[in-house]
Amino acid sequence: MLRLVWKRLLQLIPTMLIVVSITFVITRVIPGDPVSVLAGPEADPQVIAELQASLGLDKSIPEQFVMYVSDICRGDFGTSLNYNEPVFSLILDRIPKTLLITFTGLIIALVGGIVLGTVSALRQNSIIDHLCTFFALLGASMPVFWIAIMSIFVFSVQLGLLPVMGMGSLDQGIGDVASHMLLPCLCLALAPMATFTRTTRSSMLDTINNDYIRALRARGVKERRIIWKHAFKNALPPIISILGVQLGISFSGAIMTENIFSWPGMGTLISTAINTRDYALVQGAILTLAVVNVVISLLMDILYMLIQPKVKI
Amino acid sequence: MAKTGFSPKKLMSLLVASALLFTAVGGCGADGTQEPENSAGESGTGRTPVAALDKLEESRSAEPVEGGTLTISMDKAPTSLDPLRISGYNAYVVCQQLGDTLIIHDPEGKGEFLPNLATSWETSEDGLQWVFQLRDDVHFQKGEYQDGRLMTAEDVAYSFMRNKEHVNNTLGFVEKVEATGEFEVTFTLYQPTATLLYEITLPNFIIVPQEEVEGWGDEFGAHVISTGAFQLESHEIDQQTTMVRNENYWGNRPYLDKVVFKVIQDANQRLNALITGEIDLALSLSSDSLQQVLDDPNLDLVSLNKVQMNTIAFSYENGPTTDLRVRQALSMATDRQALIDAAFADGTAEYTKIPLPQNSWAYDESLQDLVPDYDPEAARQLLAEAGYPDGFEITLSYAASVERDRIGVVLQQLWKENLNVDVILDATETATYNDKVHSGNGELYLGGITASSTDPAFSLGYSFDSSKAHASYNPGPYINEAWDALNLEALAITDQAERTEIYHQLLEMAMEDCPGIWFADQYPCWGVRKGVHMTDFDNWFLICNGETYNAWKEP
Repeated sequence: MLRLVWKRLLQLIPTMLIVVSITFVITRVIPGDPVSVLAGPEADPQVIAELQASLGLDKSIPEQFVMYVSDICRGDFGTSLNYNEPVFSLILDRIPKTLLITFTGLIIALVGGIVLGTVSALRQNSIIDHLCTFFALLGASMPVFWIAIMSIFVFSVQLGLLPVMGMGSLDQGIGDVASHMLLPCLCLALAPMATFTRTTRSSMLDTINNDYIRALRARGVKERRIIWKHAFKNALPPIISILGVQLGISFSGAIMTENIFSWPGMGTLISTAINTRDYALVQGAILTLAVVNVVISLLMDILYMLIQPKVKI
Repeated sequence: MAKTGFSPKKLMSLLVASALLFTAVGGCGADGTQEPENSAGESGTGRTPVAALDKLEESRSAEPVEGGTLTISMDKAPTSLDPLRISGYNAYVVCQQLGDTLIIHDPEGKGEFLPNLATSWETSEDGLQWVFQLRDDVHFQKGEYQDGRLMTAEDVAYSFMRNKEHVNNTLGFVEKVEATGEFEVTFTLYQPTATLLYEITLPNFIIVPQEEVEGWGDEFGAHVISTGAFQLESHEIDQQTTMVRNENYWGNRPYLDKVVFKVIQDANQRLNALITGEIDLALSLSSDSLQQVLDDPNLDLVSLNKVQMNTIAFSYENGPTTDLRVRQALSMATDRQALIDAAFADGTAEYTKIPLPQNSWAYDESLQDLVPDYDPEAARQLLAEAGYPDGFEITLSYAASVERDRIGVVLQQLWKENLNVDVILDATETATYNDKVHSGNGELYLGGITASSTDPAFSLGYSFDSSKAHASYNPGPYINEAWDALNLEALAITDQAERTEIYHQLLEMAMEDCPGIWFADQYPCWGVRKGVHMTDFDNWFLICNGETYNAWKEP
């Protein structure tokens, strides 16, 4: 187990190098540069040249790359041009806020998906089953920004039940933050919930039709016990592996959702960074996401091993 | 198996149908893309600059109430509030509440200035020295490094000289600013400059105490201390900026307890938040949202006395537009009214053909005659003379927005029909477009500049200045030494009538060369909830300032 963790952590190094190189190249290749954004469209070319020189952007691209990589090796992610703050502290400030809605959203999705999936597996081909299948289809095919816009229109503008945007403030009680969280979390939950429903349903159907379940039933074991103790436990592994994938996806889903709800997390940070061509910040944020993804997949593997000890990685 | 009476298939199709219906109903409500209906005769919610004045009258007659929080949305977070570093309208609006400038604009935009921190000012015979007498009762807000001490001439000199040393400084024509008495500052200029008074009304020139600037160092941008009616409480980037009443303000005691600026990036969300009352005032609404504001009984639409000039600038470097006849033909083949009708909500933009805003004191209706009217027949002939009887292909570059997309499409139709010219739309996001302008890589640039003053120096005076070449003011760029020389001359004179004369000559000179197609003077509009009483909606948006401005909100 420990060897596995070490091996995976070592694998992080080449992954990070590749991510750093790719984001470095992409940020430089796309048109537009931080200085012309910083100085504004109305700035004189002379001002722009001066700013470029002062930020070291007049150096050649290979030179800039060597500088950047050597800075990173020393733990220095650079300073954001737009925010005028160290990239690292900006990211540290935002990550918990993104985790708050992605995790809450995923928990809602997981619980809801398992319940819906189990129910539809047990009542196969009933009207409930068809409704669940329809819901799964809808959830998987509706883009997250559309759901966000619609839910705001219905719940905030028409019904006036929930706030339109922002994060609220803990000073006004936990309820304020919770009410601000509800819509973004539901939007983030819908698509993964659909996936969990489908996975749970098929996985449950597979196990339920096994001989040992039939044997349990024949022995007169209570149905509830059969489902949750025996069938569910065996149906769990596919759900766990989907959970790992969904964790990574919901991070990127958060970029869209956060922008619509003005949620001050990594998503708004990345989109602002891209729009302002804030090189150091884009690179730092993408690198962080890559690391988070690798760590998540490691955790998932460990979890997988704990649930099914026969799996050796 | 299903035990119900109807088949799952039927159920499925029913559900799909209802989902589609939901989409259709919700869709047009949420983004409101339907064209504004004929609303010209609609009542006085107002959408012309006159509305600002109506509002002014209205708020004077009502009885102000103390207390409350005014919440204002903006589309982007100003990352630093340090007056040295601010750029963009949002940062200006926020900064303006925290501090005072020496003088302010007159609310009606006549190009006059009112005392603020300075009580009076005079200039020497040769126009090289300006002496300002300051108030002697202005204190800084209490901060970490000073205890609300008296503001003196030394602080004014410090704040200006600090700005002059910065890369973004706009005071290139100022040699030095020095304290010549306890409450007297003297500006020494390199050459006489008529726009000095305008320049120092910018929020870049609020007065800041040296102890705080040096004490906070790089973090001063989040802890600005100045002399204004509101003091910064917190500045959470990408979330909100909160400021509270300054109890020791030298001018009016502010009616409002608190002012909050919230960042809402999505344009539809700004409108939603305004409708639900989460904000009282929305900056920078999309033109599609404007009709919804007009239709809502709880909201008012207020336009600013400030003009955004919309232009299609011709490239002097690439493509067929390097030929004067082609430029003239394209200009004559453009039905400007059709562009306005397609892009802007009724009453928020005015027809024009020239780069001199209609609210400027130098504007004269007859100047419109300098540019020929819409005449497709003559345009076709001219294009044939230039050697393009069968048209050509040309790229229109712009920073994507709903309005510009529509302008692009209408232009495609007009030019195809009139001249057989094919327009390729090149819509990109802002940073890419800026890059294109800076490098001069485009053929046609659809964009515009905001005339920040009624002084033509900031509209016409910038549009063809060769030092603004390849900036969004002059993307072409139009370069003419005689024009530059005359433009400098206009800046050195202070008499308004004489300057008007010169600006008319400048306009004539530029229009002869047809550097672009000016088609709309657009008035930026704000959505305001009823019950919010601003003293005025001016160029800069002042909530409480000196003895003139003091906004309040009905409980």
